[in-house]
Amino acid sequence: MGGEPGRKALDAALEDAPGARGRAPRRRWPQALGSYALTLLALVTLNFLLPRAMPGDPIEALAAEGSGGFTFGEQSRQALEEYYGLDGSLLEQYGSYLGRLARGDLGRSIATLAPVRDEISRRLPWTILLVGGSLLLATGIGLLTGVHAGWRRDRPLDRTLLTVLLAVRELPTFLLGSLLLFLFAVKLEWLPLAGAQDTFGSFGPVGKVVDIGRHLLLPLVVLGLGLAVGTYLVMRAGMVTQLGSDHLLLGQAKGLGQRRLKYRYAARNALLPVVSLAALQLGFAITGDVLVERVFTYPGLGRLLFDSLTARDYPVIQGVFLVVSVTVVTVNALADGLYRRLDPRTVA
Amino acid sequence: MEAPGQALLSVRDLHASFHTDAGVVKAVDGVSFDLRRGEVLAVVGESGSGKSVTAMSLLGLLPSPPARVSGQVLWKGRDLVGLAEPEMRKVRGAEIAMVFQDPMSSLNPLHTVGRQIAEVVRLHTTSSKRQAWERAIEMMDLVGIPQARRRAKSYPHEFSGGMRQRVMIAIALACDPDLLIADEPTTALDVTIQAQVLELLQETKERTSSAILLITHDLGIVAGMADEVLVMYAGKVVERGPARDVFYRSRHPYTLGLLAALPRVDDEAADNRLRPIEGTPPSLIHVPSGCSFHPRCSFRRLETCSVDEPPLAAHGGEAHRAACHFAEDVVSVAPADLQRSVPSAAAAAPGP
Ligand SMILES: Nc1ncnc2c1ncn2[C@@H]1O[C@H](COP(=O)(O)OP(=O)(O)O)[C@@H](O)[C@H]1O
Ligand SMILES: [Mg+2]
Repeated sequence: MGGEPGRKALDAALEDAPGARGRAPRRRWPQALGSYALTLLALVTLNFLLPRAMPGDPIEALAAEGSGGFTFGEQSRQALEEYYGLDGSLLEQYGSYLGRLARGDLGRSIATLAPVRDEISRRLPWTILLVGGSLLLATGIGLLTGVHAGWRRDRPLDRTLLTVLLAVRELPTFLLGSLLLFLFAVKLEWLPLAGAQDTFGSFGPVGKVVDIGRHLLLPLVVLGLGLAVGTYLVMRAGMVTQLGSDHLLLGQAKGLGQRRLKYRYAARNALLPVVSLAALQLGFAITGDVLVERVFTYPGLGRLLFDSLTARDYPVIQGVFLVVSVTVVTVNALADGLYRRLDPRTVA
Repeated sequence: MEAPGQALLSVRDLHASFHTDAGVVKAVDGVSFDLRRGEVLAVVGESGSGKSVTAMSLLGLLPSPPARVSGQVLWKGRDLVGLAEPEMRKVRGAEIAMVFQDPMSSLNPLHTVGRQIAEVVRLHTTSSKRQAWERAIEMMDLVGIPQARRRAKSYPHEFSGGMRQRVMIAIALACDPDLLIADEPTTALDVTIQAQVLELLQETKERTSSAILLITHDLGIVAGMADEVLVMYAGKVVERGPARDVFYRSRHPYTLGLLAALPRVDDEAADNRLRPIEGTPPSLIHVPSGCSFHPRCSFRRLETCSVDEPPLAAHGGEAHRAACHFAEDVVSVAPADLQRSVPSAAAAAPGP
């Protein structure tokens, strides 16, 4: 899952996985901070340019949304552009965007006129719940299955897991999501069909949690399962590499038991490539989130992004991209730090 | 403990094979030997002759499948072949310890060296964490790692190759094993470091009453150390005996070939280049008929050597044995003569 380019990246990462050790040597704090700031600036610039590179613009989209056949005259168009800050050269627009950003102002949605900050903060918790939850689920499932399957390579358990999980990976998110929805929400009516919570029901605090959980379950499983495959494959490959390693043999010759060899030696070493994959996994999670939120009509950032892309709502697109960029860069930095803690060889 | 006079380790008719898709690899084919306390037994032979597999099968370290091991490995009177894992684990690292070839990859890169030494102490003794750590430092000191207390907290990548090999030896010696198996302990090291590590092994032997099984493809490092030598070819023992006999009264053409391949420092007339034995070791799936060395042998007589497998027979005393039909011819040839006396035969030998 996660689309074709994602697949390629994962495959590349898998190839590298066993040897994915030699990371960059430790940098000094200011230097690291500086490079993250630069990365962020580059991303902000991209976020600004990309929506504008798409065909069409917000005014056209606005017109298309309004009564059919309605077109703006040249004058009203100019007035609208001015109103939304879309007049002036690209460079001028970029300058004012950066200026507002520096003051913490994300602008207003062209479609709804609401402040972008409000639009985002309304939806962010749902996405954090969904993406964070699926990543946790995926990491749990992926590590557990990967460790066991790799350790008992080519035994029945390994073969079954490999077949099932690769099949899951081949299944498009959209199809899997719709199937589960049809089965559990339409046919069996065990789970709700859409949304993140029941707006009409009145629950106590416990009931509210249960209600949110019931809404979350299917999207969480669909997104999490797809992500778990990546973690599983990398962990399994790592374990398989570990199986033939000399240090495991020495451990065995020392008289260590299977459990210790499996977890303290093999799994601990095989974990490193998984950690270095964290940022990539987050990327998949976010792409997957957009699809999943659409299938399950989940009111998170993915939905917002999808809608704002359709409306060419530049400020909202930029805002969502900004949140995503900051998150990815932060997670990358955290994963880097974790890797350094886990692997003494990176601390020169 | 074994009865007085009895061997510490008695290997009888050991077989180890790998059942692969390509066929059955007979890596060890009927190996027998004895090892007594305080003795150093060197196992020599070209790469692929089954030395490591022999060592691994002693400790039950071969992955099964594909490996199958049979025969007897009598350790202090108890057969280790087919021993249950939990029992075997008590022997490994405690009574029989191993040192491997590559100190870079054999140590766990994520654990400090001190921890890796202490781990084996904790496992096999009742020491507390503290005591095990102190023991680790003591062992590092013993194997000649300077500033042991500080270095114990370092990771393997922070050590040089020679120092890492010392760490591996420290791990092996930490529980005072009765037998130390060193599988090519110096092959991955620089020449100067090689000498230091061998010296360390020698000291160990002298300090303790343990036995050493020294595996190497380099006869040169055996000379000063070994009491007994076992020469392996294609999974079989082709010659064995007291080191002096095997070196100076070799009775197998293969041993002679290995000796001739050594650069000789005492022979100033001859050029010091290596003269490897012609040809390559055979596939262990399809071993040649008769004597498995015959396709490469300059002493062979085809009608005999390609038909009958020579037994490992005693020559000049019970201890010295060689598996060659023409052992008595071989003994009169010195390694240095080998190339001169029968060059045409060697050159004419068909490939395996
Ligand atoms: N796991 C294995 N599967 C199949 N063949 C093996 C395996 N391990 C070793 N062998 C084969 O056994 C033979 C002896 O190997 P080894 O004992 O490592 O030789 P050496 O004398 O160099 O230590 C070689 O031909 C090798 O290919
Ligand atoms: Mg070997």
